[in-house]
Amino acid sequence: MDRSDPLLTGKAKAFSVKSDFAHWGVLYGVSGLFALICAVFLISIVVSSLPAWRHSGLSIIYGTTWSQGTDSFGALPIIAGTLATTAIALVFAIPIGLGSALAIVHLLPVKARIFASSLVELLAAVPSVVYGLWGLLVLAPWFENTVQPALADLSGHHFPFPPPYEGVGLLLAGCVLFVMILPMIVALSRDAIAIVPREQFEGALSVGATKWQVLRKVVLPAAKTGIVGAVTLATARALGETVAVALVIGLNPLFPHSLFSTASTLASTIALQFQDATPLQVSALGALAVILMALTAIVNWLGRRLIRRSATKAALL
Amino acid sequence: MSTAVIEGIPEDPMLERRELIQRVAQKTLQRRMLASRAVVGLCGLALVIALVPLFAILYSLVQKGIRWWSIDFFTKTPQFPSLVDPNAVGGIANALIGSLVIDGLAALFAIPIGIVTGLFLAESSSKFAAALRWTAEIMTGLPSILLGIFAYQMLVVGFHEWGIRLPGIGFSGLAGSFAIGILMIPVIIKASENALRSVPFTIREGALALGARDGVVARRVIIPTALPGLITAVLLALSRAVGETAPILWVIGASNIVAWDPRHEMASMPLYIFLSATSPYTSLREETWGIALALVVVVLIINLGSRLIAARLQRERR
Amino acid sequence: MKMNRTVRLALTTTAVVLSALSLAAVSALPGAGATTRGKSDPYLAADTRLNSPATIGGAGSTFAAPLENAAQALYAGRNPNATIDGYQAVGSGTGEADIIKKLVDWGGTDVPLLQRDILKNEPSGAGYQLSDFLQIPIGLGGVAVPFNIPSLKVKSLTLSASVIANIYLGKISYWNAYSIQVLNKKVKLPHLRIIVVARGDSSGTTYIFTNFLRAATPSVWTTLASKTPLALPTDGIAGNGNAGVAADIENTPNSIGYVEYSYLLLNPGLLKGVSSIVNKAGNAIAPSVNGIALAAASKPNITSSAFSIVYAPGAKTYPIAGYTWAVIWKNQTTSLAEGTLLVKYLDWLSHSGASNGTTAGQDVAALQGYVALPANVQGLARAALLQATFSGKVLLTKNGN
Repeated sequence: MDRSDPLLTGKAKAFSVKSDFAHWGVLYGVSGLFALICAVFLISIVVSSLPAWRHSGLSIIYGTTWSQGTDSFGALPIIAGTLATTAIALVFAIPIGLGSALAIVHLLPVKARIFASSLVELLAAVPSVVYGLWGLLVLAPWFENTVQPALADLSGHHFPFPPPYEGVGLLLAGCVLFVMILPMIVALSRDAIAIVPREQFEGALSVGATKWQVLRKVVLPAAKTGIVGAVTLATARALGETVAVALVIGLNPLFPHSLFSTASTLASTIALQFQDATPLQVSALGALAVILMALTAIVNWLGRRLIRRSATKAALL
Repeated sequence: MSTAVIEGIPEDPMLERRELIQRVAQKTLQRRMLASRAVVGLCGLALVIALVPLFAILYSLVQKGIRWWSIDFFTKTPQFPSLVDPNAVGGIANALIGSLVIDGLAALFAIPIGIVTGLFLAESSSKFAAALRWTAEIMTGLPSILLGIFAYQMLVVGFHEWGIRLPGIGFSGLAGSFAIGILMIPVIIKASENALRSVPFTIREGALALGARDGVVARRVIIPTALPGLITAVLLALSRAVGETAPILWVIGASNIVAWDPRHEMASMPLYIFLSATSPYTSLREETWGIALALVVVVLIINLGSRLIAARLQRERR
Repeated sequence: MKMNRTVRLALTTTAVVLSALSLAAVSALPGAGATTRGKSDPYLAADTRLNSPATIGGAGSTFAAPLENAAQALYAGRNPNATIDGYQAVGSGTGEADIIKKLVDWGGTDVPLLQRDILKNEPSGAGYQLSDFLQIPIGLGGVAVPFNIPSLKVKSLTLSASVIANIYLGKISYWNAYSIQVLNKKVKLPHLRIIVVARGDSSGTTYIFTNFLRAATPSVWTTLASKTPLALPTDGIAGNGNAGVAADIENTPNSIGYVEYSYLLLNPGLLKGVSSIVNKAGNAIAPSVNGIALAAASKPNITSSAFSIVYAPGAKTYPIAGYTWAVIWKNQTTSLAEGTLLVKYLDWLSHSGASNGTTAGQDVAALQGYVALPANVQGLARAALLQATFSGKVLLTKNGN
């Protein structure tokens, strides 16, 4: 069948509701229920944040003091902390994740490929609270005793590695997030890279290109949208991670002034302060949730768009 | 160079260009091979680095956690160390049962909704379906703490706000199941839609050609064919749900006794890990490794189980 | 008057014999020690007797958590009909919110409820009043200020309220600041940044701590005492609950923080550095049950509106001490069995069992690093609990329900 076939383009109406009311009734009903739950959920979060927006206006986004005592809600340091930890995680995760994915698909023999992929996916299955536990009880002391002093010596005890060396802080949270999003990037990039037909790879090799040249000029461009999709998904996950970050970041809603300082992220602030907040403060935390939702939704949407485009493109090759 | 000599073969118009390319390639071969080997080495190194955290975490978990495992650990409820007996820790029976009840109920609630909606998305091409697909995708990426806020506002507090007093509902396992169920539904929807779509449509056409209605086709033909994919979808969603802490941070309370009634306060494994990691009692903090090991083992079993089932069913179909 | 030797001998012998007999009589009383007063408490005796099974759960102050955990285990063991779900150590602020929203049976808080707390947490328009609640003192403890300076060999530093206030305000950033060094002349303090650890959640311990700072040095600490999280100086760490703060101090070099006294005993690592605080009489006192007991003794007649015992007068009082409370609804609405279990448990928790020859809540408290409630405070608890009703029926009884 060619590309204009109605079944391929999705315009075929072979199945119509009239032919089986009961079946389609159930389908629409349950889907409607799901849609209703989502709608109520999203609306309730937005509505609960309205009093805060009325109280502080847009200064929630650009204000710099977050203090429950004085009811001042400036979340800029918290947003900065969120973006900073995610950025640290991505800086490490993208090269290492991509490199691993390339290694798995093109450098390993077949049996090792499956084994390595399974290992990476096992890492993905570990719950985030276990990462937080490991980060707090194993990584933090190691950071405090070994890594931070070593980095500090490199920079002469000035920015970006000034004292004090507490273990917990921005760098540790970024590293824990890196470990968490790495399997996601590896698994999804691996899928994107594996989709590029083997013939293209071997064809390029056969005209005398080296492996790296083929990867760089043939495979990566073809897998590009898929890889970008993987990265944006991992970013969304890192932005919203709550428990693991809350255990290792020090929860101080001030602007991080160095890689070692304590900071706070949107999700972990909500987790810490939610239960004992006054209604106005709950609403402010709801505003944080709205900001987080907006960030995640944009990143997610981009991600899924790019992934789908990569898959259809490969299917039509 | 000498290819033109053979008779009968026309001259190659690109000959000079080809020879130029071959000369350049020959000269740069050394450098290119070096660069390639370096990068290949780096990729291999990246893979090794990527696997280091896995081994480090597993090592920590097993080395520090396995010594807490005992029959008592799995069957008794927690005890708090006192100054008189600083090493008394009971077990985690309350968290195990709590997780079982909460996640089981959540699955009961999420599986039908998830699979039926996935079926809808696989079968329908309306705008409503497209919008729903987009919604499901967004929901899978949402931070799970938002679901905790939702469950708290709706079920734990909300009913009180609106004057509805369900007997015993305040902190409850039900509220936790609600939050985790909503977490699972979009994951199941996405994966089951893929599984259902991958049923070859020759099979569907055949069933329709025999005169079956859509409903019968779906129930008797499509779902059974897609069953391995559906089971995988459900198990993967479950393995994620079992490990989630953020949605149930404030909604299930924290019970030290084993409770089977979901309207009651409950404990749950991931929440218990979070609370024990910051517990004032040193021995409870150490015990957290044992609980974490148990949780990771459960999640791994569900994960591996789903793969094995899918592989076995796929093989049977071949 | 002149007595001859015989009479004197007879009197002495009689006196000796009588005292021996009375001592024997006193010690023959069931389980009584040398200090018993002899009259057993019928309410306390009935506290562990329940005729119908019931389940209750509480949440709130981490200040009281070690006490609650230990006490509940003992109480449930004695009383087969009683099931106590547990005590969620979520902080005083959340405890108050939970009890006002009726999510738990009792809320633990280190600061008795005020009308404005009720206004802030009630469902809108509910109009709850302070008189709808009962506030029951259940514990007496202190707030210690541990520090962690690895390079320091001494286990104790002297700190005054103004020094601590300035540290928490960020005005003193280095350990070897002049004002700290001058209080500790014999110690060589390092030139290292002070990492300030405070509570990140709404906390009664923070209230007691800031109440002390406000009372002792109002010119430096100008804000009123409050449960809300303190604004941390740069690089400060916010801990979740007393346990989180304790762990943060223990794991962070050059840090200082404030925790409830029994947490020092639960985290022996913290004992490497405990501050002695300058009290009202000018003496630097280390935290101890004696110091806390003296602070309580200086203000024996507390009520739920006049409860503060910080910065108490006396040569050896520890200046940061406080009570912790359980808040319940005066009119219980769940069921007769649950209401009865609740008041009996709290009654048992707030009393000592010496007069009955058993162990009750405050005896457990003494084992956990708290100070047993003074007798009249135990009376205050009983008086409050006697006001609890279910459908008009008084819940605290002298028998099983």
